[in-house]
Amino acid sequence: MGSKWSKDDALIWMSGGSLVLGFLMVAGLILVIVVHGLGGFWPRELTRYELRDGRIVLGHEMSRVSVRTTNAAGGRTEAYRLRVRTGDRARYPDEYIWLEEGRVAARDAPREAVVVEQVRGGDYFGFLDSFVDDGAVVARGYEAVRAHYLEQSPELERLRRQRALSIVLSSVDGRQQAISLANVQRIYAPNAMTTWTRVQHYLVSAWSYLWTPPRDDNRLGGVYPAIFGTAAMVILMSIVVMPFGVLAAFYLREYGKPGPFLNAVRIAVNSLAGVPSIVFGVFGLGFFVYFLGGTLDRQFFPADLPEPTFGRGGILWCALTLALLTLPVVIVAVEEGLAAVPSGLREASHALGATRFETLWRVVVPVVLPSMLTGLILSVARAAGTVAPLMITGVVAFSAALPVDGAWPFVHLEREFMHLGYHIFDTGFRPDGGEASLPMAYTSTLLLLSIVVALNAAAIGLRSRLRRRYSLAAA
Amino acid sequence: MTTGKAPIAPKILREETIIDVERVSFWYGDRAALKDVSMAIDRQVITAFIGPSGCGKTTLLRLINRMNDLVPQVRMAGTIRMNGEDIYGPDTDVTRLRRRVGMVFQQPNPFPKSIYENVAYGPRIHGVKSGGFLDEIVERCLRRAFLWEEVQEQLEESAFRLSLGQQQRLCIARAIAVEPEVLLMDEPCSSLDPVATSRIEELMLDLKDEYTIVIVTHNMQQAARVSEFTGFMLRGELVEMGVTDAMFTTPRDRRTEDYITGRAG
Repeated sequence: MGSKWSKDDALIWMSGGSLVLGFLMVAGLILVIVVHGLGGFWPRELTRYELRDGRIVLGHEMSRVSVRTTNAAGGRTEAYRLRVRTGDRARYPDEYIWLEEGRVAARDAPREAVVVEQVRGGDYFGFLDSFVDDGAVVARGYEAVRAHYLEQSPELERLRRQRALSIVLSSVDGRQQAISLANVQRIYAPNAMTTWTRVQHYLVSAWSYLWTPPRDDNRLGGVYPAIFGTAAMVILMSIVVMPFGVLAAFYLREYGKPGPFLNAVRIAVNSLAGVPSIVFGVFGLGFFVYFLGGTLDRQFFPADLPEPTFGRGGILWCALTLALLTLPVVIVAVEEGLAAVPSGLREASHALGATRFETLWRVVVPVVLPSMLTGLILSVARAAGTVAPLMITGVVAFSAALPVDGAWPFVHLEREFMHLGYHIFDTGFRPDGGEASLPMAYTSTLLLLSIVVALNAAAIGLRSRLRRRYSLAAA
Repeated sequence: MTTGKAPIAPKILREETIIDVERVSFWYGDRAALKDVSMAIDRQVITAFIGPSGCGKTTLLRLINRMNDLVPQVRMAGTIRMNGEDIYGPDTDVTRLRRRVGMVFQQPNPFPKSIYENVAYGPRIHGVKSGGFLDEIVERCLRRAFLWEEVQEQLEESAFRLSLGQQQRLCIARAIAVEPEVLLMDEPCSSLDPVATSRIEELMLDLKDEYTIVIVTHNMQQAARVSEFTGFMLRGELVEMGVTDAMFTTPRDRRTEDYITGRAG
């Protein structure tokens, strides 16, 4: 008896431990994403480092890592190395440098240091020197330039087009650089900010992240086209997948005669759910893009050939590929819903002289409607989180044109588009190794995660409502 | 007309006969559920089928409105006529047949709709569109099913809010809303308490002036209380059929006697 108990206890501890471990891992992942994703907009302090060799560096301290070395005598020394973002692409192409902390002679946070967010060319860190209006210096010094800039900023958009305004900045080591006002997105002095202005800055940044297009090769700016593209593609996918999935499930459950054929179809559907998503991408590229797209081009757009219209990646092909990918989700959800419809309801309807179609349409469909919605939401969540097949069927890292705009015919199904998932890949793992866009990757991840979590929560809510409905029926 | 082989179940076709079952056999896959059953059911009386579980009484009932058509892998032999018309004939419109032969099931099975919509469902699918006319039908059928007084204030509420007994009466109202000639009742009281049961029985007695009622029941007292004619079935065969009072007092067959006196089944 005693040994049985201890085995039982061991199992309880092991299973409980696994659960806790899994929970901690998920919680940790979410915490990392939330902290980094939400922290990216907070204005960081600008620090000036004076190094022992006389160099002066101005930048954000991004991280501090310890470096342990063993010296010749066998003793260990511990040193720290700072990862500093310099905002100085002229000197440091990827903006980031490592500083040995031991070689920093002095550091401070000059109140007048400013961050200039440029439309093109990244952020510039330096000091305001003068304000130039059509070649004439109209203000000089931090306060004067700042005042002048703030005074102009409400009508900046208009002024940019009219006059050749520019701001001259001096870098921390004395080099001067003029930046045309047309290229200035925003100027702020992080070290001079109060908590309240930091919060304001944070909210404005976060808001504009959602609603502006990316700048500077995805290193800066917002993700509006990616959000829009993701939503548009998912909507298009839903329009395709729902009728197919629902009708397939109806056939499987209502019309098909049980037998080897139906079993084969079910196995095929379930296998479809297990196929790696990149395989769908390859199929989409081969079948939709090259075959269907190529055929469409030859039939309807021969004038443009050899320049392809539909015969290259586009939002329509991405949506079709994902529709194929999520088809099993819809079929399974709707089939489960149909299986849960009490057979008594169908019999009651038939016994009143209803045809099969009337029974399906008036009795069964209203009952399985929540299951259809559940299937839709699950497939949307799945589609929003899938990237691999899209990379080869029409998603691009950067696209200024939205798939829907004011130009005839308003909906451009053949256009390449931006996608949040691919945006994460592009900003997080840049081929040039730059880290400037890393905070954006976290923010986009958070955004995508929130969308998927929200959709899943909605699905769970719907399902529980469905269950309540049936417990009523059984009472 | 009697069948050549089965003298134990004499069948007399008369003016009153509405349903004429002739030498019907039925199989689920390989298993025979009915063996050579013949009987005549009179109009505007209550006929009860009794017998132990699995004797085929429900199968026979479901053959009368062709509900077994929906079951896969079944086979039938023999003929069933309603008003002289072969209901399994090639020209039979099954939905029209089911409209003429309504059915009430063992488990109350209202649709997950409002009380009103439950009753209006049948008339709607048969083409009644006018709201006023539908209102009339709903009220008449609910009154007919002794339910109007209880639900007239809550017609738009879900049918699931009713008690089981009320739900079953709603199902009866729903069935008579398409104006059938025959009502088939498959153990309609088996999930109800005695009070609800007696209300359904009252309702049946009231309805028989208008409808021919065929009821399958486990409960011999119920058969004795409500029916004029009773058929006793055993292992797929119709053992004996006749006037209820006579059968319960002086059964002709030994097996019937054993069953109604509780010695078998």
